[in-house]
Amino acid sequence: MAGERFRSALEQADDRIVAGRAMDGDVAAFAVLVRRYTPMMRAYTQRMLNASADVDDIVQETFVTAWQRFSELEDPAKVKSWLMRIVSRKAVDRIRALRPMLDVDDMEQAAPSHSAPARVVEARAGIEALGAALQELPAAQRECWVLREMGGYSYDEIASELDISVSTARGLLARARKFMIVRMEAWR
Amino acid sequence: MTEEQKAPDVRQLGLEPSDRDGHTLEELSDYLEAGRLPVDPSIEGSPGCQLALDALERLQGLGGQLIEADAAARPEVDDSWVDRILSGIALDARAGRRIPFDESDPSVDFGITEGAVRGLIRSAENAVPGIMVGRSTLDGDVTVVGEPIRIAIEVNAIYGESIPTAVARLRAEIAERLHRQTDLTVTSIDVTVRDIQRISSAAEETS
Amino acid sequence: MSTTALPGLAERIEAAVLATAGVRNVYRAGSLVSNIVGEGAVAIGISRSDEALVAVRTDDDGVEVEASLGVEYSANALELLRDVRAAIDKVLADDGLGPVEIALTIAYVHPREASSD
Repeated sequence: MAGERFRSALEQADDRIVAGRAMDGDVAAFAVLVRRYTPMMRAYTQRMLNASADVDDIVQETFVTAWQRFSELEDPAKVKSWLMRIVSRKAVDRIRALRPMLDVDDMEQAAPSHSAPARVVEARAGIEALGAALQELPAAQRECWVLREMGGYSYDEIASELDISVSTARGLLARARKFMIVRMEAWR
Repeated sequence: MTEEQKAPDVRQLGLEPSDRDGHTLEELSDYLEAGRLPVDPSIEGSPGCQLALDALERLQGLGGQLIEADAAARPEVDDSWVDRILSGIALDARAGRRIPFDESDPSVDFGITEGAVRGLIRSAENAVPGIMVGRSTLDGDVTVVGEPIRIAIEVNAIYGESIPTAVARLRAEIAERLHRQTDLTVTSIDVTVRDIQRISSAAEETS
Repeated sequence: MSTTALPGLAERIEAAVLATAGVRNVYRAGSLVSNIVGEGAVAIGISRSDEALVAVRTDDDGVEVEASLGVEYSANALELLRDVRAAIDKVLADDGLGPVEIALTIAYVHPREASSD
């Protein structure tokens, strides 16, 4: 059927074409973007919030905003990073709404103790270990790390998003990295 | 059988300041992110720094993969989710400018939206197997009847079809549809082929 | 704010518009809603039982009618709009109303090939 074949063609088309059509008002193309990027956006939001309750609301709001503000997307080929920026901003907004002030205690959190109680050490694949370690980070460190390593934000941008100084951002990131390296080594 | 739990020897990772010959972890992070350039002999010459850099590099590598791994581990996006999104958007947000028809009767005002016209342009590809239409632009003041308008379209060509033939056919199809459905004065239809696309269709897969 | 001179006027106009050959949808001015229907995304009009889709305003100068349409691909869209206008005129003439100003906007053209799928 011509309809089936076409739908398959649209689903396989690159971002430039699909986003170009969506910007022009093509709902079918917009639906392709929704299918294409929902998993990544959900994953990112979950990592930022370290919770799953608000994830779908945030992703939905992101798509609604994207539809409204498509004219701001200059190059349709860059729709992926454009969407990720919007969802990241909304995730941070949600975090800051729930926690207006950065918790200073977060910054003082000690790295994992070297004298953890004896237990069976499982060998974990690198990614799994990383994911698990990330979940254990204090909130501020986690947010910095996600913005940097998953969102590709610069230090200045992180500072701006979280309303902290650049040096605070650097410090949080260094602590996060140290924590994760030690944690992941403990699992090797 | 006893299990000997060995706490990781953190000193072996070069994470303590004394191992890094005065270099902070932030410094090493930045150095790594700069691609280890310009070369800093004091860092490169320090075994503790090398260990720390190795660990940071491994971490960074995994970090880039995490989002893909997370996304791949998630369930498929289903129709009800797409429906939820689509039912929350206002389609006329992309309606664009209102394009008047050339109707002289002052008691009526006939028009067509730019969004509808772009939809018409896209639909022309139904008659041209070798083309998939992307973004289209109407250059000129479409709100004034008789104003010369230039249409610019980005397309992908489908692998296996003759591109010049397909493009010519697309132009003709668009011109006809616009002529019938609007009063636009179209001076040119510029088609830019961006990419060649392969399509796997159900028909091919079952043959 | 839209008001109707006679009860049900907007609904009768809407019915006449929809009955015109070549008109498939009437959208409430200012909102199109889409849903996935069957295999593809199709623009459909939202319909509310409590509010007509055609905007009708009356004042001392006469009647104003405004409608957003989804139409079939046709040989001549302008002719189609004239047909719709004639249908609206007839409803208003039957009620003894006039003069009338009519604004019609095509918001969506169903693809020429749509029926062949």
